[in-house]
Amino acid sequence: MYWKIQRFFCVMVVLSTLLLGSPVALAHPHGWIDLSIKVISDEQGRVIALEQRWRMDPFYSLVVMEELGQVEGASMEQGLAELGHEIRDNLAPMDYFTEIHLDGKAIDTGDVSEYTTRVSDGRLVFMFRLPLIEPQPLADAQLAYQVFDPTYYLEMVHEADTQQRINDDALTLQQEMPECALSVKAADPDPEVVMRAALLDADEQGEPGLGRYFAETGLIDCR
Amino acid sequence: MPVISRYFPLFAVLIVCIGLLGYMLSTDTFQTLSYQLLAWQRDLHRSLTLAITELAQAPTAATWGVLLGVSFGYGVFHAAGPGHGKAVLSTYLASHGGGLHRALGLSFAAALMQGVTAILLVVVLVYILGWVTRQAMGSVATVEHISFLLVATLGGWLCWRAVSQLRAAYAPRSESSSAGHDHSHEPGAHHHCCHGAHHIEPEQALDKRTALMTVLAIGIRPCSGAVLMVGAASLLGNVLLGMAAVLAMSLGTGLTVSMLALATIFARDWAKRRLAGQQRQLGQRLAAWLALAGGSVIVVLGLSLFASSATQPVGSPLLNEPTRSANPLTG
Repeated sequence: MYWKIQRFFCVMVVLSTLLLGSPVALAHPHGWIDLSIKVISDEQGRVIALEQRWRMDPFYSLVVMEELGQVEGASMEQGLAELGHEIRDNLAPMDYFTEIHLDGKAIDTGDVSEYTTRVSDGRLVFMFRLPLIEPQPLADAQLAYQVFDPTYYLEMVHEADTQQRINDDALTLQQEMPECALSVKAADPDPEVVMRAALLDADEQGEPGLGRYFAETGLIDCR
Repeated sequence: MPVISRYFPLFAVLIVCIGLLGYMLSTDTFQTLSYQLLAWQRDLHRSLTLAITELAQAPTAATWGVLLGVSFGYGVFHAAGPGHGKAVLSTYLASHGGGLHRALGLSFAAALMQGVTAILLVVVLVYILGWVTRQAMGSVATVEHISFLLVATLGGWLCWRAVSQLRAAYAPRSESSSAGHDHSHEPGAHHHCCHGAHHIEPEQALDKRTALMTVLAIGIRPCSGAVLMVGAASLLGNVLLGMAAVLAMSLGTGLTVSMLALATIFARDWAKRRLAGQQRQLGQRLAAWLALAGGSVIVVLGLSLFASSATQPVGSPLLNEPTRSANPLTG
């Protein structure tokens, strides 16, 4: 009798999971952005900014450009400039989706004043320079950053080839630093943690957001 | 029973699937699996987007085939995740019963309607009213609200029907029930009472109506991704490609949903057989109570979805709501 009840219970759990859908899959991204990052440093080799290039996916680029084309009396360049302001203003309160850590300590970032928007190969490209509030010396330290949309509406990944190998130019240094090793670590979330976060999101809005668990980590290791 | 023997292979597959799922549940693989599903879905989405972008201008027979295949696969995995549709459909089937044909019919009809709604949104809003695609995508939120209200309405209607069934079930009755009043409300029990060929079964008409309402409530809610796909394909100069891809996606979705629907029917039949020893009247009462419970669940589902849908992100966090031309839906 006992195993019968257990089996029934199992079937019910499976059914209800199917019914309500897996909460993880519920939050699937609707578009993506290909990232490239260049680490900018000063004469003393201290990191002062991350220069980021975001390439939006082809569909989203298409519909945004459709919209730009509809504005009467404005050139494409004006439209793109306008769009750049819009994106910057929307990103500012969210710290430009970027989190930076030096040896595990969170580093504050400033406001973006240098940015451009252009179209290349049918993709909308947003480039900006995210300054650090204080220059950070890299000697014997490890700098780690993540760029992600917490809502996971957009998936943000470093530029990669079709086999999902990260391109060499997805993470570069402005100045040569032979003692530093660059790498991009793929997201490897514990499915259980993700599941818990997803379930949390169902009744508790937002924090901390699923996107974090699927974020890649860029590492500049000079230890 | 003849149903069981006719579809025996299907049931065998189902049992194996459920068994596998149960095994995975017990070994933690389930969570890994849903993570894996997400990864597949993501990869398929990406390759679909890139393929349509590359091939829209000059599709060949081979690339059409690949595109439709990928779309179908994407639909299969897509449906494995989200979906109030599945919850409504299986609650309906579990509480109101119905044969395999109905389960399959409802699943595919609802899935196809979702695709058709996405296509219609683009045709009407973009082609006829001249909106931009991003506005059409924004309108999905409005349509979604309507869909959730329809779900609640469907639940209310099912509850109302269940109440009248309950009244009939508890009404004192004479053994030789007068013709026309004893419509057994248990589908599958019809054979015993309906010999008269002239006797038009009102129950069947009602069932048609609820089936239609179920399909409508589920199917009216398109996926904004599907709207984007049709819109983008049209911007690339090949709207037919987008439409075909969305329909192939719907078929894939229908496949997954129908698996679930069949599992529901199977589970219900299994439970019913357990109770087969009970008196018939008790079974009828039980069916009516079950119908009431199912109806209530669907009402709650519709209302809670309606309440929570305002807080979901509906657009890219990078961009403002499109405001470049008048949009009566989003203001």
